Amino acid sequence: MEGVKYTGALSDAEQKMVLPPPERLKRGPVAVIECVQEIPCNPCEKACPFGAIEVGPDITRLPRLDLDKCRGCGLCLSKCPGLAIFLLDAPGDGPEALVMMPYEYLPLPAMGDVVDGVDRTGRFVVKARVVKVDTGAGREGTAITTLAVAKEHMHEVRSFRIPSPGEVFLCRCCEVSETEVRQAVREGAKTVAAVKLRTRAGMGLCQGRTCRRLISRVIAEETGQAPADILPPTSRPPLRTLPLGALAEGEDDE
Amino acid sequence: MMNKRSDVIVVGGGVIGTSVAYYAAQAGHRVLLLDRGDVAAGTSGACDGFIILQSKNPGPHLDLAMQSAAMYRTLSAELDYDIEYLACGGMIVAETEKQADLLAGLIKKQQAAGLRVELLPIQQARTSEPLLAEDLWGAAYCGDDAQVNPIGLAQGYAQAAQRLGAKVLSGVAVQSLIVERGVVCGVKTAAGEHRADKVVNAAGVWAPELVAPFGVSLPIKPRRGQILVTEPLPPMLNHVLLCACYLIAKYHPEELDLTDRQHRLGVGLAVEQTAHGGLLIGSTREFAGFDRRNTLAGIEAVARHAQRILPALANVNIIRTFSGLRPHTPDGLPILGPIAELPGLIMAAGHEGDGIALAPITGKKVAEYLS
Repeated sequence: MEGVKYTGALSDAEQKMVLPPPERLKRGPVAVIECVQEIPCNPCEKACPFGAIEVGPDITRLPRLDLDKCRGCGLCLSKCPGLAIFLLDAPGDGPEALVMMPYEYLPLPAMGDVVDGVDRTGRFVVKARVVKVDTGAGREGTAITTLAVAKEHMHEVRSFRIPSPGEVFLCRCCEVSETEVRQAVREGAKTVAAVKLRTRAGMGLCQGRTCRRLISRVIAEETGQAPADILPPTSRPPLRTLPLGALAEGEDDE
Repeated sequence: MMNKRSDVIVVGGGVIGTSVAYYAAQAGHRVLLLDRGDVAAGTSGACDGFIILQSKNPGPHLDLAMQSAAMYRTLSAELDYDIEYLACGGMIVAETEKQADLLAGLIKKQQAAGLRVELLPIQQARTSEPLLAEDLWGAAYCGDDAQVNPIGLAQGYAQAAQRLGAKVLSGVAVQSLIVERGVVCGVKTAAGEHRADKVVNAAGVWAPELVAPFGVSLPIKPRRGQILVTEPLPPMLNHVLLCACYLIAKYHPEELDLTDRQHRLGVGLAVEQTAHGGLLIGSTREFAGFDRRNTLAGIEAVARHAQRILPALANVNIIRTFSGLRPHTPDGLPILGPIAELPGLIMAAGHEGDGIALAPITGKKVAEYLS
């Protein structure tokens, strides 16, 4: 079970479908459309002033990029609602490549910052330097950030984290910080349920839907286990919240 | 493999076991607490937090509860842990005059035993609990009822016990008692043996398993309680609320109409608003073995009854349901103290719905038995 549909990140096979060939990269910057799910969406088609992107009348078809028509202008990046388009610029024999990406978090980085380049699943890959942060009017609120990364990682780095000395909340509903979770694990909580009993993480409105994987990952890191081996929390109905009155109106079985 | 000798082994890390561990450690005993899961992972992590006095029968039951209630008032400071104790007072709602008569009988005896409790007609009850339905008969009110976070209580006791030198091991299942020449002198676990002078059986609904191989049959049966949890809400309840059905299911099961599903499932209202804003809405009282699943029938019956008593709850969102197994005994009283058949073993189990109310006094009394 791999690929966007199952993991949210492109599989190797899916990457092969969308990454540009080395010959094209030598000729100059080029867009990389990492869109592999057939959904009804086509703003990219109109975004390209050179007609390099085609979806066609069947709106669920995957966009096709004409590598010869693409000039590497990067205008399409801020038009893709799925943030799936990137720009690669790896000219000549230099050690670095430029990776241009949409970035919709605050705070924005500043030029010259060194950030943690992460892969499509959010895992740290390599330190990267911020070369440009474009928040121009044409970007419609999506900041387009350009990172300089070592060339061997240009097909991996697709986002970044600004290293922060501040607290990170793993459980947003109950405002439980990463530090508190790590502390609980060090004190003996080796399952998501045990962390919950010590910290309340996962007891809020979302019932752990957001934080349980993050907590599994912290337990895995702290204990050296594989994340898949960490016991998941108990699931209990209802799957989605519903009003008590609706529950009370079930059928009589008297 | 032979591990170091402890003075006292406590089996079970719920509110009872952790309380025993704390008071025993405070009395100078060397304590080892073992839980097959984790602190508060069983019944104590799946219940409400009522410290309710007016549901207790006058006599030892109410006496113990009143002593316990007094201990609770300073417990957060004593344990250096916020157990979310709230002296909110409690109400037991009567839907009908018949239920009110039943409450009146109990109240008279409780008042004679020194409990401050009174019966309020519905108009008066609604002045301090406005969400109660207008067509109820009324409610019994006791200002000494309170609430606490049971998970926090067990965590607070466990951590405080550890600071006093107690050792708490989670994920360690006790396989058997070690009995030599008729005397209990330790426990066997998958990870080896632990020896002690005294073993405390605070395993709740699992307590009978521990002694059954030695011919001792404890009358403890798991009774499932299903509870609904709401989204966090602004303050909307001023008291912990029970209804008279709870007392009928507990003390007068013969009065139940078994053709009625609500009665068959033992549904009695138990509602509290936790420190985090969410409401806990309970509960069924069913004998379903060790099955901890929630059932649609149970959830629905609880929701329906809650809506009957508190109509405004129809619009609150339920985010989770859960269920816990209460250690039921036929006489409604916990089994505390030594048992003749197994010297060296101290019982502290069978509290059913009173585990929270009685946890502090249980720990303290058991610590006295250890000396």
